Formats: sequence, C-alpha cells, structure tokens
Amino acid sequence: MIDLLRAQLGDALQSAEQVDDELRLRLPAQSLVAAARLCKEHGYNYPCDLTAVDTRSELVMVYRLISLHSGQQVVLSVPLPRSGARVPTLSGVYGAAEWLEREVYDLFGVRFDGHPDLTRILLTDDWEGHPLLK
Amino acid sequence: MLQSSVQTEHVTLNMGPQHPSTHGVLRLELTLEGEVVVDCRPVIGYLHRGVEKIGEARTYPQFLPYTDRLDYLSSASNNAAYVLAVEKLMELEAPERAKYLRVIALELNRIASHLVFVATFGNDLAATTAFLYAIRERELIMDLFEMWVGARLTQSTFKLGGVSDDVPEGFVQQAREFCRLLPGRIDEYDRLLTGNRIFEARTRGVGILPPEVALDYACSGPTLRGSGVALDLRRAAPYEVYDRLDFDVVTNSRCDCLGRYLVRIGEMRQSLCILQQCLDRLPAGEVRAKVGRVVKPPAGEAYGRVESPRGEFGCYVVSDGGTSPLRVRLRAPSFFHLAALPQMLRGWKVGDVVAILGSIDIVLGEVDR
Amino acid sequence: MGIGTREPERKAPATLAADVVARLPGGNLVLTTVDAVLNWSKASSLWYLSYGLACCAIEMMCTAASRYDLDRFGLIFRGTPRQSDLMIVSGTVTKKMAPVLAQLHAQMADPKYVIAMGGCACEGGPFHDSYFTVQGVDQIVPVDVYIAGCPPRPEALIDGIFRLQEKIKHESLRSKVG
Repeated sequence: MIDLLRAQLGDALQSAEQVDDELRLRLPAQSLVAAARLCKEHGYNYPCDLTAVDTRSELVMVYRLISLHSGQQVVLSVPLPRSGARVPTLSGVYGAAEWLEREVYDLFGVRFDGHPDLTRILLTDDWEGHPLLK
Repeated sequence: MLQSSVQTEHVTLNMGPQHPSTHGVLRLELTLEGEVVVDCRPVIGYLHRGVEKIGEARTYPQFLPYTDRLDYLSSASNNAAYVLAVEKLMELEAPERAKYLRVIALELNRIASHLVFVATFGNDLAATTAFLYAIRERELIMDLFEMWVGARLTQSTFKLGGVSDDVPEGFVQQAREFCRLLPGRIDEYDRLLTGNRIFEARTRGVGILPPEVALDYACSGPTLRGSGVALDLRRAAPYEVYDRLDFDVVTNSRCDCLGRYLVRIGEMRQSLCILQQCLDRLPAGEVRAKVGRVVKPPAGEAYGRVESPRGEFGCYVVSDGGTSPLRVRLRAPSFFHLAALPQMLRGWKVGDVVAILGSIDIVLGEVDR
Repeated sequence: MGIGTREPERKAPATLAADVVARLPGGNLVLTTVDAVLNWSKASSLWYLSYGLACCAIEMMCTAASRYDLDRFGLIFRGTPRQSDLMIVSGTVTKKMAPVLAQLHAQMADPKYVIAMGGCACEGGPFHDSYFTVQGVDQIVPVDVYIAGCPPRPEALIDGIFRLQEKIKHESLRSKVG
C-alpha cells in the first residue's frame, strides 16, 4: 500500500512510517482525496475515524481507514494552520465522513470544501467559537 | 387515478428530544408523506458534555471514570478502549489475572447491555413484559458488580495496569450460578418475543441496512453483523485474552431489525460461554501492574479499539509527554449508526421508526460525548 | 443486598393522613382536614415524567422495573408532561437541552414537583467545569428534592421520593393562596 501511495503522491507525501498495524502518512490537503480514493480502491473501505488534533503549533486532521480484509490501518495526517483551516471533503468517498466532518467543523472550526451540509452538529446553532481549540 | 388529483405536501414531524422511545435525548426531524418517512434528520448534541475537552484538563488516571459515563450501559468497554490506548503508549501490560478479570467485566457488561436492549426494544414494541423480565436478570449482574467494585452502573473496574480490585470471596461462585441461570431465561425471552406474531410483523423485513451502506458508514457490532458482515474485534483484533478463548461470532444475513435482534440474543449466549471459560481458567496472581503515582506516558499517539456491545468503541490518545493528554478522541459506534439511520428509515412508516431506532441500540452518552 | 440500614422513622403514604383523621364514635364517619386529604392524594400517586437524560436514567429505569418497582408507591411513568406531577431530572443538563427542560416544566400542570437525581442534576457533577453543561438543574427550574450520587442507587431514589412525599404532607392550601 505504501508503494502505491508513494507512486501516486510522489513528493507530496511528507512522511510515512509503519507502527505495528498502522501505516502513518503525512500529506498535504490537496492530496487527501486522491489518497483516500486510492486506499478505498485497495480494500480500505472502512472509514474508522476522522478527527482533528490541536498540537498548539498546528491543527492536524487525522483520518483512520481500515481494511477489513487485512486488518491493516492507514492513518492519514493532514497538517493545517490553526486558523482559517480548509481541507477538501471526503463525504464523496465515504458516507461516514459527512457527520464526522460536521463535528470537526463544530469543535475545531475546520472548513471542509464541498461538504453538502456544513453546520454545527453537537453544539447549539448560535454557539460562538470552537471549544476544542486550545 | 384518485391520487393524481389529490394535492399532498410533506409534513415535518418532530420526535424528541424528550420521548419515551428515543433511547435518550435524541431529536429526529421526520419529513413525512402521509405516514411514510421520506427523510429524517437526526439532531444530536443534547447530551454533549464536553468530555473530550475535559480529558485535556484531567490527568490520565483522573479521566478514567469519565469514560464510564459515555456508553453508560456498558462501562467496562469504554474503560477498556481508553486503557488499551494509554497502556500502548506506556508500554505497560496488565498481569494475567487482571486480564481475565477484565474479560469477565467486559462480558458481564455485554450481557447487561444486551438485556437492556431486549428490555427497551420489547418495551418500544409494546411488549412491556420483556422489559420487566430482562431487567430482573440484569439486577443479578448489578449485584455481581456491587460485590466486586461497589458500583452498579458506572463501575470503573479498569485501572491503568490492571483492575481496581480483586474479586471477593463468593464472587466466582455467584457468577457461576448466574451463568447456570441465564440460558433458561434467554429461552424465556425467545418464547416471549422471537416467535411472537406481532413482534415478527414489526421487525421482519423492516429497516433494511445493506452491508455496503453499513460499511460505508463504518457501522460495527450487531448492527453490522445483522447485515451479514462477520466483523468482531474480539476476533479481528484481539485484546486482553480473547485470542485464547473459544467463542463464535454471531451473524445474521437478514439485514433487518429481526436480524439485529437475533444477533444480540446469540451474543448473550456466546458471552456466557466466554464467561464460563474465564471463571474456569482464572489464574492466581496480582491484579494490577506497578504504576507510578504520576502517570506520564511518553509523547506519541495510540488508538485502542474494543468490541463494545454496540460496536467498535475506539479511543485515540495523543500524548505530549505531560500528565494530561493532549487530545482524547472517543470513537463511538452509535454516532456512525445514527449517521446511517436516515438510510434505514426512508420508505418506512412512522410506527416503524421506533422499531428501527430501537434495533440499532444507540446510547446518546457516547454519541454526544 | 447492598446497604442494610435500619428503617427510617417515616410513615408510608397510606397513613400520612392518619394523624389528622379522627373516627367519630360509633359510626363510619371520619373527621379530617382538607389539607390532609389533598396532600395524601397528591403524595400517593405522583405520576412522573421520566426526564431521563444520561446514566441516572438507567438507574431510574431499574428503580421503576422488576426488583425495586416504583409502581407500588403510586408512581407511574408518563411520556407526556401534560399527565405528570413530578419531573425526575436524571442526568446532565446541557445548554442545548436547557430550553427544552424549561418548556417541559412549563407544560406540566400544577401541582408539580421536581427531583434532581444525581450529581449532574444537583450541581453539575463530574462535568462541573464543562463549557456546555448547566451546573445544576435548579438554575432552570425550582427543585424540591436533591438526590446525590453518581448514579444514586435505586434505594436512594426511593428515599428521595419518600422525602418528597413528606414534603407534600406538610403543604397547605393556605400557603398557596395570597
């Protein structure tokens, strides 16, 4: 899988390492959808999780895709600036992404380009701010 | 012929957030054409307590009781995911006795949760007897936990490195007695519900969830296994001592409410089997590994996943080397199942909404966190 | 089973009116006060709206079910506030839920009572420093009885209901007028 991704993304792939059954990759936002589609085509059809981490210096989007056949996990990390973060939506690739991205928007303020319904999901509609940012 | 001259319009019906059958504070905005559901928009967040943010303000051991309160029907599973992740970061392993005790806690919680499912699902479909019977059995499990850790519901049996306490004298005997008693009771529920004409009419063929849709929404647990996909994390990614235990993964290819119900009934029997094995093989020894007073896992990230009664409950912990986590992400199976709910509701009548919602067995505590 | 303490000095609802009931000698008439009879009837059949929010809701459910049975005290679960006298707030109240809670309370007809069950409903519980929780349901509605616990045992809930019945016993029509 790592070779396929390297072939597809080329220099865009910032880093890759295998930790136990997780293949952890770091890539920029513009390569995200292509990488996700490639993973899905090769059996990673279980969109286990999608979240963001505020490391104080940057916001990292973390996508966890699992192949039920092999049990392997691919973890895609997309670094973003802490304010004005934008990333393309994965709701066209995985159905679960729609709600998960709404949650990340709600709690972190990340905007997902192309999302069908980017509204708050957990907090009240008139809430100001994004609580999970540090 | 008559229909073309009749003007109809869609009606929006609000169900919840206070409703006896929404299994918590869930609001469903149903768009109806007559009695048929055309669309559904679940509104969640009524129980959003900010647990993930609280996690950043507590130390690693302090956060453990908060995990109990997420999927409150099966506290041990939530504990297990968090503890698995943190122990991975710390490269800590619990002693053998602790692992077996953990599995005992997990399986007792699984049975308890499935009993609540039988109770509430039956109650939702107006079989109130099922509610009274199933809760009666669940009280026996509460007694066991009360004997062990002192709490009935939010047990916090897990601790970093092991379990909180060793089981007292008489626990194993009482648990064996429980295992002897329950199969007959499960047969009773079968006689009450499974063959019942009304129950069948309300669940057979209702609320179809095709396996491709289920996988696309990352459904797991009985919701996925009720659509024929044999994914059980206790087999696929074993933790604690599940790789040494003998049990079947229960699936059902019906894809409907009845299928999901049958999977849970089957799982209760399998859990009893696992429980018996653990009680028989329980080794002597310590119940907790040595953990320092101050817990500071090295910087890194880990994802702990367990098979909770609802599906894959995951805990993604990111550590920066300090005493509090940098980020605790709780991956709740019910969140994904609710996201798939509109797909399952379209085309069914209002009366079926309750049956379908009941069959996916959500807990709002973990959906909203 | 669990906490075995001595029975508290509390009279069961059927005899709440007993101390102001006097049998007239020789006949089948009893002499009592309007207050006593009204309070007795109010306390003996509190129909509750189970406002089950979180974990405490499960304990409330268990209290109402087979082993602990709330029906024997006259408490029946009603799904609508229009038919309820009592609201048992069991669980954490969030800022999103607060207006709904206020609306439900307003929809209940007088006389109505509120029991705050569990730490979260009493004062925020373990989520006292969360950005989205209301620190105690008494910030929204008046509370009659607070039951501590996380979650409180079924016996604790029943004890709380007894206390509410005691409280109702001491109500008076006079205090409501003027």
